[in-house]
Amino acid sequence: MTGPPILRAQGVHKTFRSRDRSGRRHETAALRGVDLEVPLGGSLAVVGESGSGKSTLARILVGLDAPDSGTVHLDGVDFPASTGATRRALQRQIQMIFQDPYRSLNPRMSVRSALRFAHHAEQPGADADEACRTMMQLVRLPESYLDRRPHSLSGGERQRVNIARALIARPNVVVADEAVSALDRSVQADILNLLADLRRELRLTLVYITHDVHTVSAVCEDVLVLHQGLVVERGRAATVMADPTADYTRALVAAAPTVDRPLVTVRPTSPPVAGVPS
Amino acid sequence: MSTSALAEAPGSEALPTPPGPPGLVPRVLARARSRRRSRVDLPTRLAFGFLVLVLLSAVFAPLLTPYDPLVGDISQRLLSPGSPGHLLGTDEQGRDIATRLMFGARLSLLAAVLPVAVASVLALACGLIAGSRPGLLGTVLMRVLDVFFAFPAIMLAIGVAAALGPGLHNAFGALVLVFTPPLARVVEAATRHVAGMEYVQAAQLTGATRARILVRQVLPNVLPPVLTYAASLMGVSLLLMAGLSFVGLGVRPPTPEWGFMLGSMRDMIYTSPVNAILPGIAIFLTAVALNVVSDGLRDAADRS
Repeated sequence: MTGPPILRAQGVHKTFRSRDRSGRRHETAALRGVDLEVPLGGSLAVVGESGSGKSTLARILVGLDAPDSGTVHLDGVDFPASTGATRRALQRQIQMIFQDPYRSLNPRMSVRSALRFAHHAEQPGADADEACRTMMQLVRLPESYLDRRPHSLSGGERQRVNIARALIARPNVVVADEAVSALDRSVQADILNLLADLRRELRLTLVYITHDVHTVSAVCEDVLVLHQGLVVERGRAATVMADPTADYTRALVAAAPTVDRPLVTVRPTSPPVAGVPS
Repeated sequence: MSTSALAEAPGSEALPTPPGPPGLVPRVLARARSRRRSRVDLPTRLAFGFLVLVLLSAVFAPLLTPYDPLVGDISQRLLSPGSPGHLLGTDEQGRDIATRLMFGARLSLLAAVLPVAVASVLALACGLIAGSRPGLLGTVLMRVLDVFFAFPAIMLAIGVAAALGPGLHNAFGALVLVFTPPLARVVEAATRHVAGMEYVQAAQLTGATRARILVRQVLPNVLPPVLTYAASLMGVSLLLMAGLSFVGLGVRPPTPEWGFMLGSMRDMIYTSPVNAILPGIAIFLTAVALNVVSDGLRDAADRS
C-alpha cells in the first residue's frame, strides 16, 4: 500500500508577529522545526491541543501559507518555492478538507457549480458533469443534491460535498484539518468512515489533523504529536495511542473523554433520500 | 375515500407524500416559502409603482402631451395649476410645466442611475483589487480614494463640476467622482471579508487563477451589499444633480431638468409659489421613492 515519500517537510518554522494596542511587538512561534514524511498511500495523524500549531502546519503543507524557514517537498519538488504553472500543477496534487463546513462552501454556488469549478481548474474546457456525478456517488450523496445550495444541506452533507470538491481535482494527498470537529458525534463517525473508505478506494495519502486522539487509530497508520510547535512524539498510531512515551502525549490521551463503545460504528445503511433532510 | 378528499381532511399534512418526481413537493414548498420571505412590503411597492409611472411618463412624454417642452407662449406665462389646457400651470416663459416635468424626468432619472452605475463599476474594479491585494498596491489605491472623503459630497460635486465647467457630461463626471470612493470602500471591505472565507482558500487550492477566483467566487458574494448601497445612492445622485443644475453647473438652458427648472423659477416664489415649487416636489417625491425602494429591496434581500 505504501510507497516512496510523496510529502516531506523538513525544519519547518513559522512565527506569527503582531502588535498590541500599546504598539508592543509580540511573536508567537507556531512551528519550531517540524519534520514529517508521508509515504505515497500512507496516512499520518497530527494531534495536539488547540494552539499546538496543527492548523498552521496543515496550511503550510497545502501551500496556503509559506514557512519562515524549512522546506516542503511534494512529489520531490520544493512546493513553496514553485511558481506559475508549475505551482498550479503541483497545487492540484494536494487538497484540503476544511474544518468548518458552514464557511467552506460558497453560499451562492450550487453543489454542481462548486464541483465544476474545482474540476474546471483541473481540466479547462472539460465537461465536468460526469465527474460531478461520480463524486456524488463516491461521497454517498444522491445526484439530485447537485442542484442544491449549501444552505439546504446539513453539516454532514456539506462536509461530504467538501470531500467531493477536494477529490474531484484528483489529488494524491488530502489534508483533513479538523474535518469532523464541527460535526456531531454520529456524523463524525460517518465522515471518518467515508474518509477511510475513500482512502482505500482511491489510494489516497491522508494527513489527518485532529485534537481528538480517539479517532487517530481508526483513521491513520502513523501519528505525530505536536506541542507548542514542537514534535514531541511520533510512531505507529496504535502503539503511540496505547502506550505513549512522552509526558505530553500521556496527558493528551488521559485528558480525552472516553466512550463505552468504539466510535466508528455508525455506517449509513442507504443514501439519503432527495428532499428529506438527514 | 378519494385522494382529493384525503388531501382536504384535517391533519392531511401527516399523509404520505403523493406520488411524483422525488423531492418535487418539498422543492415547490421551499420555493413558495422563499417567495413569501422575499416579498417586498407595501410602501416599497407603492414607491416602485410611482417610479414606474415617472419612468413611463418620461419615455412616452411626446405621446402624452401636445406641448413642446422648449417653446412657450409668453401670453400664457405663470398660469396657475388647473388652468384650462395646463394641468400644472405654466412657467415664466409660458411653457407647460407638466410637459417640462415629463421631459425633465428623462435627465433627472438618468442622473439618478447613470453616475451611480458608472461609479459602481469603477468601485468594483478598485475595491476588488485593493481587497484581494492588501499590500502596497491596495493600500495606495485606497489611500488615494480616501482623499475624496475629506470633502462633503455636495462641496466635492460643486468643486469638480466648477473645475470642469458647466455642462451635463461634466456634472455626470463630478457625480461619478463623488460616488466612487464610498462605493470602493464598501467593495474593499466586502472583498476582504469574502477573501478570508474558507471557500475562497479551497478555490485557491484547485489551482484556479486569481482572476477566475475573483470573478467566480468573490464577486458574487461582494455584489449584494454593493448593489444595496448603490441603490441607496440613487436618491442622493438625483438630489446632487438637481443641486448642480440649480446653481448653473448642470444642464444648459432651455433643456428641461428638474433642478434647472427649480432654479429658473426661484424668482417666482413670491408671485407664483405653487408653480415655483412643483419641480421641487417632483425631486422630493422621486428621491423619497428611490430611498424607499432601496430600503425595501435591502430588507427583502435580508429576509431571503
